[in-house]
Amino acid sequence: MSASGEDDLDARDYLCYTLLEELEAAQPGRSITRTQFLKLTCIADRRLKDEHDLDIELPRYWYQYGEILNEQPISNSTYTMTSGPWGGKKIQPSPGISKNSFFIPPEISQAIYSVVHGVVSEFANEDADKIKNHQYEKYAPSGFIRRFDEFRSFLNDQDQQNASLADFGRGSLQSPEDEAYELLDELLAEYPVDLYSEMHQLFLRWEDTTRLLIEEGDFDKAESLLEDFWETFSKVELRHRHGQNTPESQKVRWLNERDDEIANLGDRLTEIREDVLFDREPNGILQTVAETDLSEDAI
Amino acid sequence: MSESTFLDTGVIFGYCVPLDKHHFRCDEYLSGRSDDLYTCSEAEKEYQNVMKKRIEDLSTAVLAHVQSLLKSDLDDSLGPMDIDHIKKHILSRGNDAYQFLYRYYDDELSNFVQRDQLISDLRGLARDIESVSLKRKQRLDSVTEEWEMNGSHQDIRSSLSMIHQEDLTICLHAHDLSTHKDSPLEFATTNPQDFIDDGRESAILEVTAIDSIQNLAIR
Repeated sequence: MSASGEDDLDARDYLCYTLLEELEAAQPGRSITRTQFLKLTCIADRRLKDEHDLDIELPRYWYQYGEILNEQPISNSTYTMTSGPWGGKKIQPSPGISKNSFFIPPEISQAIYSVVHGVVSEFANEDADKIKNHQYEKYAPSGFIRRFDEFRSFLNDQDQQNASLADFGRGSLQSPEDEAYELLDELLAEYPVDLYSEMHQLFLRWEDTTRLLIEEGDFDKAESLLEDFWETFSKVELRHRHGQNTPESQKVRWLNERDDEIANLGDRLTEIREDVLFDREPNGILQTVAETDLSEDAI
Repeated sequence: MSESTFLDTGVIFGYCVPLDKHHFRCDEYLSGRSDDLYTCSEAEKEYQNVMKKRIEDLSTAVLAHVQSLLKSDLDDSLGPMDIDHIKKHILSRGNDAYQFLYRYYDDELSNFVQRDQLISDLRGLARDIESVSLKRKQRLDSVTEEWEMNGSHQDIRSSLSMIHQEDLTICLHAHDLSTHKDSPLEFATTNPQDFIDDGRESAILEVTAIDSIQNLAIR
């Protein structure tokens, strides 16, 4: 059942508007963040499908921290975005827009209101992490994405100076380094090569580079590299493979950006690897498969 | 006055990358050489833009094999039967590193090995492919001078138009260098298709100041 109509403001806009109205009422005195808005619209849309078998063709895609609304095809006349005091964006319903601005069949508007009300009851006043975790637990489109989030959380939790050796010394079963290697092994095993083929080579290089950085004790750099890797991964794979109702022109633009994104991350990985690898001694296997004496200063 | 040798990109790659099929001959050719060694910015550009990618691809191919091992249901301790299974069913023929990984399993791993040790050794191999190449390149750079061509040598370019433009430009740098030297100059390459075959070697020697061409390719 499709609900998008010819009117300027359609069911998708109505969902956005209703969500903002309900959030404003449910969290008085607290700004609605852009993250809240972009994620909760997706959760509401998924519930609309699951609970009411209603497809309002909401454009959304999976990105760095979960699924988000694709704002480009959505009319922005229902909400206004301004800078919040915390440095991010806050969102409000646009002045002059009311329920009467929408011409939508009542059964659809009632279904939208019902799911939005439920979503707001569950997530108003909650921080972005809780919403993100809900999306990862319930809707992550591949086990690999969920596993990656676990590794990201693990790295975020590491304060190498204070936690690593101290915790280990207090009797933790595993050192943070060993835990990281184990999580990386799981990520490698879980990676769906056929699904994310464009990023497969870079994934392998990122994984080994992260391992190298951890071997060097540089958790901070591993964390910053992870953010860069996942941003590229999101642009190259996630928003393409796990998106819906993306306009053709936007898909073309995304495709055109792919090569540069891949090249930029490749350059960064090469730079880090060269820095770390240059001072390392060979482990010997290359010597066994090579036909010359690599230790000899030949020239 | 010492003789001079001008290195084509493939020779630099062959020397730096122990797994390249031309490595043995390039290494042998350059070892202990007392000539003045030269190359040019075009060869360096090709090395940085194309050859480094090939080194990374080889290293990544080994990491892809490591991933295949992790995805498979192997025991912690591997015996000859398991190694045979890896060679036949896990090591993919489409993997860029197939040949030398197969050789590694054949020559070095006929007995028992721990799975974790094997994976750790293969990771080390992937890293060494990059690090050994880096070190060898730095060593070669330290004894090689980059020659910049003066003039376009359009007449020679026209005479040798059957050679690919990028390769011909490198060859013209060698020619240009030779016109500034009193001693013999040899051009070393691993690219016989462009510089040796079908009468190209004699054509180059006839119209340029290059004195000899050394073909280091393994056919």
